[in-house]
Amino acid sequence: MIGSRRVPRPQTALLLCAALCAACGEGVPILMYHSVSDGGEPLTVTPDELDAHLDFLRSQGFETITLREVLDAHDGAGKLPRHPVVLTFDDGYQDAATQVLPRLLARGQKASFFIVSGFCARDEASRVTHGPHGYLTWAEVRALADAGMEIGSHTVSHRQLAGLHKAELRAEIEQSRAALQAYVDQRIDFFAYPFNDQRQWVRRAVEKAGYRGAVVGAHGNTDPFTLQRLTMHRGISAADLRSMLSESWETSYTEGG
Amino acid sequence: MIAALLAAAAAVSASFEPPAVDDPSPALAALGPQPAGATALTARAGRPFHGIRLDHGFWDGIDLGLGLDVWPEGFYRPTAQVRVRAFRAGPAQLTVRGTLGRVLGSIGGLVRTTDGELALQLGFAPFAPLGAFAEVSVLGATDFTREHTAGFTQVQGGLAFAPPGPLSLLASAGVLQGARGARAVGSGGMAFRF
Repeated sequence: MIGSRRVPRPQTALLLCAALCAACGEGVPILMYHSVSDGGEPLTVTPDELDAHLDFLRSQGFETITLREVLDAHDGAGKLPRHPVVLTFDDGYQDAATQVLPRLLARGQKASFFIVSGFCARDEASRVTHGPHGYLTWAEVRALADAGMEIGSHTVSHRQLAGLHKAELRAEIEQSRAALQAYVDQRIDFFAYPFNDQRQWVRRAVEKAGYRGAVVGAHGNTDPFTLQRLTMHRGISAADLRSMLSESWETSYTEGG
Repeated sequence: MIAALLAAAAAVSASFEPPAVDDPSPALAALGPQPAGATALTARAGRPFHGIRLDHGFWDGIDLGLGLDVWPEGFYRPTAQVRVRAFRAGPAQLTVRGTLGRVLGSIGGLVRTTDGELALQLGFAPFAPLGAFAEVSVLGATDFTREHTAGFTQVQGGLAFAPPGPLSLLASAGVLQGARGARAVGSGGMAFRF
């Protein structure tokens, strides 16, 4: 299970300064999910909670898009919908196939799944499990991709990248991408840093490996290789999500221009 | 439409006495700040807001105002404003405007923010009843969370027509720029000064 740093509540004065400097990054909201089950871990949302979130997004006119679409729009190669949102699911838990995918398909929504390639088994008999969690098989990853979901890399073994030697770091970043591309019929252009721990040299290695972008946690921004995500944890209601995704009238007004 | 508004302004103006305050350039006064002792009630329609505002000149070159902006899709925003004339030289003046507002009401997807704006306006009135202005401003909106804190810039230009009498016409157009994009802003309206 992957943790995420909580951002300390900034002081009011700093916020006002930030508001006046017109420098705050505003991007497409990216939600970070992990497991979806009735288990009791903080980063595991329940199926009912996920239902509520997806229904809320649909009812409020949010259109789920992929990270590729975000960066295409950023590069001028596409246009974002009026209310875009990106759903991401980290780690490649088995429930991505059993709980998440059916719910997304039922609502015509899509998401990006960050897979730990080394945890993917060839078949059901060899499925990898850690504690209460099982991980996807390659067939299930392929099924996600075939259903129109975006697949991204989350390294080979989900180790803390900052502590690795250069060769190990390259292997984690490059081999996971190569393995995923070999199994799914799509380019693997996006990367999620394990534990959302992003350092400059890790970022450089990710860029050098040919990825288009990468996601982090709440400490990110709108830089393509440190895209900020909002942590979705157990207990977040649709009302909470409404608050998280709401925006100022100025932002709503100018993004519609 | 403009001709009709001008005719209406002239007709209504004829029945009122001009403000009994020192007002050497009515067009600049129409742009604000109001001369000491004068009050202006201004109504505007446009985008993003329609609004109504009451400004009163308390000191020479300084007025205070209260307003209510209405977003056509649902929410409203009471505001408080101060305008300070930094200098005036002949037909030109430089004015600093500060505005604070609070978004109220409810509309899907929009958060209730506290808004601030700091503007610098250069006004110019080459003819007594007609003035023009250019204005740059920085705006901020926050509900005191990081997610809902953002800054914006705005550039506007406009005209003020202040024929003899208490009524004047105002129009402005510009661009509001945010991190995600830019969009046109503008409004037209009428001020009644007394």
